[in-house]
Amino acid sequence: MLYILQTTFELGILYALIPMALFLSFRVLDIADLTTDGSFVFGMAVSVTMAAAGHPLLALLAAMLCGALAGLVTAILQTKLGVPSILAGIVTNTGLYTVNLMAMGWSSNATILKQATVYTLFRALGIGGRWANLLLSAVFVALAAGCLIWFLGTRLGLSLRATGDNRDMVSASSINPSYTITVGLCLANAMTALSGALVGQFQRSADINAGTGIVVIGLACLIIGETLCRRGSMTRGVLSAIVGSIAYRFIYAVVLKTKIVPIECLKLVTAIIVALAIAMPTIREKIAFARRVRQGKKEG
Amino acid sequence: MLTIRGISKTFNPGTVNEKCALQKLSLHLDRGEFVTIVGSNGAGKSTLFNAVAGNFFVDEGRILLDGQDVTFLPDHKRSRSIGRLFQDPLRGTAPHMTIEENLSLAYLRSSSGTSPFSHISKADKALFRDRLQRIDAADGDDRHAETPFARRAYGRSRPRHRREGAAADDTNRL
Repeated sequence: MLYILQTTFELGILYALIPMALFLSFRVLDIADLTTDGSFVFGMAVSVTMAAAGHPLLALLAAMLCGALAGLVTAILQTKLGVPSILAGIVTNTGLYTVNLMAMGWSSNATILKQATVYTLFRALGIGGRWANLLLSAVFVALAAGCLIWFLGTRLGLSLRATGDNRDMVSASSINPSYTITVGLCLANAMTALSGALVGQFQRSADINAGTGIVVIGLACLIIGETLCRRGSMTRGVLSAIVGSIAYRFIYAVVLKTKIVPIECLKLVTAIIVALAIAMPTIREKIAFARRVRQGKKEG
Repeated sequence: MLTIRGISKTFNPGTVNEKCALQKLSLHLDRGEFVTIVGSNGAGKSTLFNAVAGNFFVDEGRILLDGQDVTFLPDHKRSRSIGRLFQDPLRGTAPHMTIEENLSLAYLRSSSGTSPFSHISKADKALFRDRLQRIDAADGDDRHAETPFARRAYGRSRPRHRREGAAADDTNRL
């Protein structure tokens, strides 16, 4: 039981950066950024390749930079070249497949054999015992969350939030919305890539398909977190992304253990949960409207 | 000082919806002048306004603001020297951000020298509260500055806040 809990927390924290990134792109900027799948693998591939070459720490930085670059491509496509935002993400994502293969030396997977990872380096320090992996991931996520919360309170962060809230007002306030969207997408994808980089070093391998559907899982985490913590301030939003990620992994572990739902069906279940959760306001409205029509008929 | 020299704007040219909204329009306003533009529906009042604010670029003619040619300056750059109120006050505010945050965004325009990574300072907050209280003396509740805009009562307070936002600096006003 303790082992399951430990794994739940480890995975939940490792993947928490994705719902955090989606909080920035999907909630704050109001853009469904489909670059996520590709930039996750991009971060993973770069991180594993570089760690295998003996630079585990530099690998994390490089992965974030690569993620930001992927975000930049998507941002330029949609702000400068008029590609619809969803399509821009898909196009970048498709292109990244080749880039990711290249990053792994034209192979569909890469492994770290005996070389050090940030996790082995940290364990060598002797802090945390069996919880060392979790502790290190938590430090990275806490740092990222702290930076994100701080950033959203700055003037640039405020401009970013206004861009998602009311784009007309933003350009009338002498802020260039193209610029804020670019900054937001770069940051979000850097976070996603960092998550990929950490996961890659944690499991000592990278796989070209590791990112498939990760954007939907990330959204599920975000929505679960928001349901548990309620939506509110920016700080609450960032924290609920972390809570949601852990909750999702917990549900995953329970399903895996009890086999209530066959594990092969988990992606379908995740997709249904996300679709329902996002559709909920519309469904509620329709039900309320149908009720009013029925009542009107009765009275009329 | 605003000088408009022979501007024209045609929407949807070459289609059945073609609409020539402005035709060779010239106008000169001196500093401090107060002008009311009157016209029936579709006369082009808003188009003129939007042309000055930079929502679109005019087909021909020049627009000069304080002697500087702003004809091809994008709206986000023009708004550094022009403050404007939208016809629809909802368009001029971010509904999910607090009044304080809305005001500090408007304030951003005039304080272009500050770092993009700076937070709203205590002095800024005090200034916003002071200005808010001047227009909102009846309900001078301090916490108002921290409630999201959308939760505030609709109606007259909203455009008033926006006006205050537009006036948070000393630029030209429309």
